[in-house]
Amino acid sequence: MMARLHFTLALIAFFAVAPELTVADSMGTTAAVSRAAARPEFRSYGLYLDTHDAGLGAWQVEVVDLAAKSRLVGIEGGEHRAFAQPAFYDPKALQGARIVLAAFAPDDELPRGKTRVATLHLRVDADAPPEFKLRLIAAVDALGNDIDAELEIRQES
Amino acid sequence: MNENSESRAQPRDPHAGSESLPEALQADLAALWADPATDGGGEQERLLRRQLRAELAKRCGARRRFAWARGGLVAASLLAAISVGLYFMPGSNLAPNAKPAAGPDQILADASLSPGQNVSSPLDRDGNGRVDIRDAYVLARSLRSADQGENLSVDLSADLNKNSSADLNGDGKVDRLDVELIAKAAVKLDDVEQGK
Repeated sequence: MMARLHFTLALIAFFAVAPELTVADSMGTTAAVSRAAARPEFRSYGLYLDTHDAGLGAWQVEVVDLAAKSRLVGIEGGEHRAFAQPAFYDPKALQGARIVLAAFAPDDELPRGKTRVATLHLRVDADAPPEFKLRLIAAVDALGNDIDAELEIRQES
Repeated sequence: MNENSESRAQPRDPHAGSESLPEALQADLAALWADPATDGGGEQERLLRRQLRAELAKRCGARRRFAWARGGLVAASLLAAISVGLYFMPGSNLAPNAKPAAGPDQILADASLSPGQNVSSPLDRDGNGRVDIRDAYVLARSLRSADQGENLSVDLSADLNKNSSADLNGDGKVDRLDVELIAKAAVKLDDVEQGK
């Protein structure tokens, strides 16, 4: 009976420390399989659109993290009143490295020039920061006409 | 008569009449039937018990060792199965030629698909062949102008008047819920795309 108990305890102890063990990979080097190896941090990234002189009525952007190591934890609205509400997005984006964001202004007061339209809150691996690829799907004026806009994302905190 | 009585009173000797037996057999029989209190039979019993205990202990020890060996074998098999499982698990980078769960190439391939793309959908309000935020904005502007009694744009206001297909959720009215329906469709990620 005691022998079985000791064996069970030994097995539990092994699996408790198993993730910290080092295993050999196919290249013959060693790779530490360790949860402790990833250093998670929470960072905020501002998404900016510069429409120059045109008023921004609606926008839609695709953001892809090429490093695929980060996780989206929240979306915040923009700095202008027209886009203060968080943008539309698919909750499935919380499980992947790709998100499509979109928003439209509810009234006629539209931002012009460079404005932060959204803030992305991410949990990232400090050793593998996200590599963003951005795609502007739509930027329209008050009448729904396409306008030229420059897209930028930058770390806020 | 007396002789008969005397002979009857004599204790019966098990060895009586055994004079004809070989001496060795007689000695063995004597040892077997000897009185334990007088000829050391208790010592023999103790010796026998000691040997019995020693034999039992030996057998139990062997059984315990066998149980440990069996447990070790099971544990080794379990670990081997887990290692193989981890090695070939989808998303594991340990296996040779392992494909990352969501590598840059795959993500870019997914990204090449237009989100919410759906040609000839009732959600495609501007008729450009895809559903995006423009469609939601067109309908939102139409609603706002209708509420305010304005006529900002013929095309926009006509959207509400010319067809009832703007009632996308089928609740009998065209309102903000229909606009949100389009916006959500515009940002929708395909299950397959996102799962890759």
